[in-house]
Amino acid sequence: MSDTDPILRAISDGNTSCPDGRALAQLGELVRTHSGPPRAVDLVNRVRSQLDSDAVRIVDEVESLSADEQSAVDGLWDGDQPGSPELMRLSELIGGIAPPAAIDLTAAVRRSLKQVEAPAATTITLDSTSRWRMWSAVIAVHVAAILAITLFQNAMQPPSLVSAPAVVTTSGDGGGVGIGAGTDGHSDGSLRTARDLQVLPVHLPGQWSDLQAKGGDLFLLRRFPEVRQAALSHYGMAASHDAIEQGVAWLTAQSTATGTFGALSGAADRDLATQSLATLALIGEGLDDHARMRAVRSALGWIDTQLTNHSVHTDVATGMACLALVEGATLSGDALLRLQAEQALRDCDHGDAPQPGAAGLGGFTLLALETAVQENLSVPPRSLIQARRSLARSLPQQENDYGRIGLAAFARMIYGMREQPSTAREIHLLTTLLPAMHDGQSDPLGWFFPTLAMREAGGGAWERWSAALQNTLLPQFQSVGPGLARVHASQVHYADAHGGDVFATSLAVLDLQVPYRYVPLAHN
Amino acid sequence: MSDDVRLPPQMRAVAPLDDAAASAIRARDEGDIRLMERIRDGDQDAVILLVERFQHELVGFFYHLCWDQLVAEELAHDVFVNVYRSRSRYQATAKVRTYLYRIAHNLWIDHLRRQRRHLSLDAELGEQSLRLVNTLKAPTTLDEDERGARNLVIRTRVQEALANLPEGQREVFVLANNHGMKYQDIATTLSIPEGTVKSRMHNAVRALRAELTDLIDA
Repeated sequence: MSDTDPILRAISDGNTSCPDGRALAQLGELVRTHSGPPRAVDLVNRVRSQLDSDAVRIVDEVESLSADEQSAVDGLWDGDQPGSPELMRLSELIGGIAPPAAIDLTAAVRRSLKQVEAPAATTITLDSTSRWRMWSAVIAVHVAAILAITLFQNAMQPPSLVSAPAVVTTSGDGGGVGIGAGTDGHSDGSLRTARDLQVLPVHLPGQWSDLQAKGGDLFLLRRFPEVRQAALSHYGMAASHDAIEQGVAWLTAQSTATGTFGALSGAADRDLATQSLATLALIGEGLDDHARMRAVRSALGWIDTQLTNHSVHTDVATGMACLALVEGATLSGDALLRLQAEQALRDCDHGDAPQPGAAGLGGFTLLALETAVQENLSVPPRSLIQARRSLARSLPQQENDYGRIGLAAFARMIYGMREQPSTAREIHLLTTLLPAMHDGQSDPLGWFFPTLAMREAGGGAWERWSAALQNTLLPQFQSVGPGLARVHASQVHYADAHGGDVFATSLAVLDLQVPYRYVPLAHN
Repeated sequence: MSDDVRLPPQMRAVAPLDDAAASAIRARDEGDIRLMERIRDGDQDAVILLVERFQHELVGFFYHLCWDQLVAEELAHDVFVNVYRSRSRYQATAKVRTYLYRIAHNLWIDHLRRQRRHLSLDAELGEQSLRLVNTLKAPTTLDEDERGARNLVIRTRVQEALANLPEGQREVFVLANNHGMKYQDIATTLSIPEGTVKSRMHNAVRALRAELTDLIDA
């Protein structure tokens, strides 16, 4: 073949007579140099040790039970003998424990069967005159790509933050949230200003991975104060507006010159977690306020220093810190912050799969990774795969841990698994675990992911959850000055005396901000 | 009693099958074969009837192998889709239930292979990595109900004992104990000799008995 084909001749013999012959000859040389035979391996020992272990196992199998015991086992499980009480008890113990939750697969199977029956894609066969058509298509695609790039670059000009009053409107369940602007403000052609959003209706994604394809913005609802307020009203949480505003104002007022919010406890993990949560609460309000933005910048600097200088942190604290850096980088558009966020995500990639953990705390890592993906930050692929595989699971063994259930439900929704029967079951389970005080304390840490999940679930489940959430959290905000309110540490589960007020207030604010933290997903 | 009709051992003592029940189950098996013939002709409604009939059993089968509801649901779902996809290959010689379990077994093997491929990515550390909870105070919800906590302990012990069995033994034991399958059917389902089923069963019983002695004696 190489005798007749000039390309193969160039690769195999270094004959440069064909177009690109020199490059092809180099390619051939390169492949020959680096594709030597595999190193010699002696498999004898490996096979011998396997045979030895098999022999042990076979002997072990034969001698595992006495003849009487064997016949008792066979009689019980293969015959119809009653079996010894001991074997019956073993059978009962294993047969009767932990049945899976009842589910109905019919709808899912019906959908899949329709796909099986769908006609296969038509294969285009090229005929002898197709070459000129291929070239035409190639040229057309290039022209289209140039046009698309030009349009994209125009669209991605730096946005000017207009203060046009915006409203959030809905068109039925899952019809989408449209965001429109008032008549004030100016347009600069950016797709990210409130005014432009009036012209371009927002198409809600079915899952987060659809966002980029649809040119969506995950943080759209939190970018403008009017939109935030409208989102609160839309989701029936208008009553939370003052508490959020005053809580955020109090947190901002706690910002110190070193970048921390209030005093540190001295425990590296707790401090990193507390400071990250406070930063996230502030970022939840967008960055349209100068004092808040300064506090966030300063806090992100402190967080980055902690991650750099103290390499040993728990996954949970690191996950919270990464999320703060990713959200800060994304909202501010700061190139240095992006690099810091990407470095933090790389540092998280230590090879171990993230776990949902009690209260679903592992979910902060998931949020950091998925948010980074949506915003085109560089994400370690291994971490992403692990997070996706580990965290969107149902949790039949943790039926009273609303945090874990909430994380599983939320993760499955953002991965487009809303219609799974077990997702519905998890949402139903959450409606039986509504927010309430236990021993005089609330648990906003445990309620964060359930609140995110319930907002995506919508309908009666969300109404019940959000009402219970507000009834529990709002009374906990105590006024500490004009326009300032905080939640006292003693009222919140997990909070302690050192920095506990910052921890408690941040979490309460985070829960109440859920209506506008992320763009909602479409139903169906 | 008919050879075709079985209940798991732990249920037999409570509800022994009489001849009427046995013949009712035989009639149902014949109905299953007719259902498979409809599926072979491309009838999707027949697949749905098959789903309604076997879904809980198959989800249970996978669930007892992996203790993961989502994985169990997905694999059970795939069993029915595969039945439809490979409908032309169905021979009415095998019992439908055994046929379904055979597909389920193959899917489980595929699942394990995929898992092994991702093994380097899945060096899971359980809950060890979440030490912040300890720092922040351990959650108390589970400890509040002593009985619930005890049930959880038993459940976890049993799950761990089953999970610690070698793959082949676990599958054999689950099919025999939780799904009332005879050795011969298990051998057909898993494509192994009946003697191997026996030895795996004996080993499984020995290992489980050793690991759960205190619970069995309690």
